[in-house]
Amino acid sequence: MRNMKFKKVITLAMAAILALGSTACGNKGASDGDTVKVGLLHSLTGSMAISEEAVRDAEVLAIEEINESGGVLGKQIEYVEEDGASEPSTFATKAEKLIDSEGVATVFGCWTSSSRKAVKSIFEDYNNLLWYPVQYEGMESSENIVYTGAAPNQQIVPAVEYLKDQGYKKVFLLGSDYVFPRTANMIIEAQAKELGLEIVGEEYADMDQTDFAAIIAKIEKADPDIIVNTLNGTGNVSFFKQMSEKNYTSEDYMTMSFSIAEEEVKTIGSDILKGHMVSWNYYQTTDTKVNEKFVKAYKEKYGEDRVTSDPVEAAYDAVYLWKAAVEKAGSFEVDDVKEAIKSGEISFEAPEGTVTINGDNQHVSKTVRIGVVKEDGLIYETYSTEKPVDPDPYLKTYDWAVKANLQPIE
Amino acid sequence: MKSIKNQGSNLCFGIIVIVLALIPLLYQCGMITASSTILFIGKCMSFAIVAIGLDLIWGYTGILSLGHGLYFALGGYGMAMYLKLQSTGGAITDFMHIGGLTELPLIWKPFQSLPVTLLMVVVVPGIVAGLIGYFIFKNRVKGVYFSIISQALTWAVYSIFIALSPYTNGNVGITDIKSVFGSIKGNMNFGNLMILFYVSLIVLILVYAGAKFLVGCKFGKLLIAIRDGENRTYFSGYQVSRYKTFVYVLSAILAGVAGAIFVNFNGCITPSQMTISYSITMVIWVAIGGRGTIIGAVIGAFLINLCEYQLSSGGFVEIWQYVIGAIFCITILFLKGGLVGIVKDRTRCKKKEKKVEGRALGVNS
Repeated sequence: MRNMKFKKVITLAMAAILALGSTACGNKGASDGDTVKVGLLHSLTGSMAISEEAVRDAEVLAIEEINESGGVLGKQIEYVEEDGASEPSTFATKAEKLIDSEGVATVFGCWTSSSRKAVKSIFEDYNNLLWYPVQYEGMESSENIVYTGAAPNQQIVPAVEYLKDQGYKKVFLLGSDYVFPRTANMIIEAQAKELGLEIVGEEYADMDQTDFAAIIAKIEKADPDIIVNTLNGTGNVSFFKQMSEKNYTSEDYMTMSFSIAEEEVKTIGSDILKGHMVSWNYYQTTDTKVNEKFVKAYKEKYGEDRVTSDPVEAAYDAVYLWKAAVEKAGSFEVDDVKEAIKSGEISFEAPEGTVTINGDNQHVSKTVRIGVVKEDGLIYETYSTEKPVDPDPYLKTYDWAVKANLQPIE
Repeated sequence: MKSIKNQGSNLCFGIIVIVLALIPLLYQCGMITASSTILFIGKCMSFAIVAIGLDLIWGYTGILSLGHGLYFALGGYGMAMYLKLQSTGGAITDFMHIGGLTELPLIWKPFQSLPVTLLMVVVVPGIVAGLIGYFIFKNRVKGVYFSIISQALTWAVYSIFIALSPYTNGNVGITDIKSVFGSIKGNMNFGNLMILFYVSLIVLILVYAGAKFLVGCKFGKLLIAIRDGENRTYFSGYQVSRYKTFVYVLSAILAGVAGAIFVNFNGCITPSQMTISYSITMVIWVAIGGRGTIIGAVIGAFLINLCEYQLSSGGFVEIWQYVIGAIFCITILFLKGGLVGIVKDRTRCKKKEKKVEGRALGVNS
């Protein structure tokens, strides 16, 4: 009898959860009264959560700062969070929900290329605006997406030029098996041909590969001066740990990485990574007044042990750039904001320096910085471009890229 | 007595169908504010179809397949290839171009026509499942060993799809596609969405009716016999492996059809629909709804997905998976028959009470 009662309680509890869960409703309307609603769409569960939570935190920080200083067009920003669960189809579903059910004015979100590609057509069909904060492989531009991370010509291309200037000649390409490394390496190959660098090997590891013995053996055989590393996620941890188990340091095999920022240095270990090179547009150590304030605010809000990184900063910029665009447009309407962006005059004094949205391709001009990992786990700049580099997602201004026919078909 | 129980589940399904049929109308008179909700319910219908297939093989036949994502994705990719070619006008796609292909690969060619595509959506998962099922069941692989093989197979095909990126676009999958009936996003395309929604609903009804018919006739009894005593069924002279292969193929086809419907609503398909974890999620729908009932699979698929849809935002955004996990654990620990099992237990209890009462009365008189 007691068992029956227990069962009844459980049944009722479950029914309540399910009923609550499946009937809760969102209320529509982007800007009513004193608030304007925006969406945050990141993976807060699943394999990408660890990276995307930091980005989400930066967006929340920016929103709170803006609200404190009076909001946008006199309205406070209210954010609605959705979880993409590290799964592109979920991103698509949630993007629809944010735009259509919640009626948000704009969405800040995504990290992986596959999640961005899954939502791209949704933002175009519903005519809403996505702010995408991560460096990526380029070859894309959409009126409905603003890319605040680096295009290839603001990260990869300058890094390879830098390698050539430093006298490196034999290049080994190592990447995870997905669209960013594949496209990046396609670009690097074309560029290497132009610069006279020799590609001595090209290897791809599965996304969650943990055994790099075979790849390390191939690297030993090819004997490169420099390994250009586009591994992502857990692959980096395994690769560098196994290199250090063989007592290889940056003096034996130097690497240039495009997906290792401050967060990743923390997980892999600065003792292993010290001396290795990376290429980004921003480091926590970047020496600007705005950055000092930004790092301080971020650590104050989320804890001393947290670090800022390039994607975190780009996400923070995205919110401010949206504010600037809305203020120029004088309206929250997507079409007006798009029109304002097209003027090419939307800029923000960001922690990395002044960033400006390019009106033609909706990417952002950014300063390129090559850095070296030091023992304290931070990355220090060794080279930077004098001025912000204009974005060129299709590499149309590079003859070697045009010659190699890298452009996608229309 | 049995017929009442059956009718109960049919009645329940009838109510679900009526509610579903009313949803687009509710939108038109303003009760539902967003067409994206309808889109999502459309996806749930495809999940219900694959859940029915899983219930046939797991609930009735006792074969736990942890790899139905494979067939779901095969159907989905077939449909997506057709839709992608519709939007490129039969020309090669951008990812093929980046992959170095200059003309449409042979494997894509059949998907230029809709009838062939619809055929492929059914035939490809069917043939794959047929081949695998034939060898596995002929060698009397069963229980946990079958589950492991089904997982390994899913993983293998997943890796192939990632590796063949010029043909499949790797882990990005096929994106940027419209439905068979044209764009379904936004208010001006609501007509298209309605057609797609009702077509899917009809498919769901047909699948439900078909499954109910199958488990109701002798064939269904045989499946249960295989589940409860495989050796005895062998000894009774039945070719158990043939029945198992057949039901495996059938559930794979249902998964393929579900995948094709899903793509229409979703607008993209990625290999993550093919992963082991996604396949296990499907099994969870059936487990929570109540296996071996067909209606349980439908209820589970709808409830769990709606629940995830609502919980994974706002206040629950970081902990919703714990909530779903807790529901699953509670079901496994305390409610063996799932949600449907609760109702079943109730009716059984009442029957028992009546019987006891009857006996007591009998003694008194």
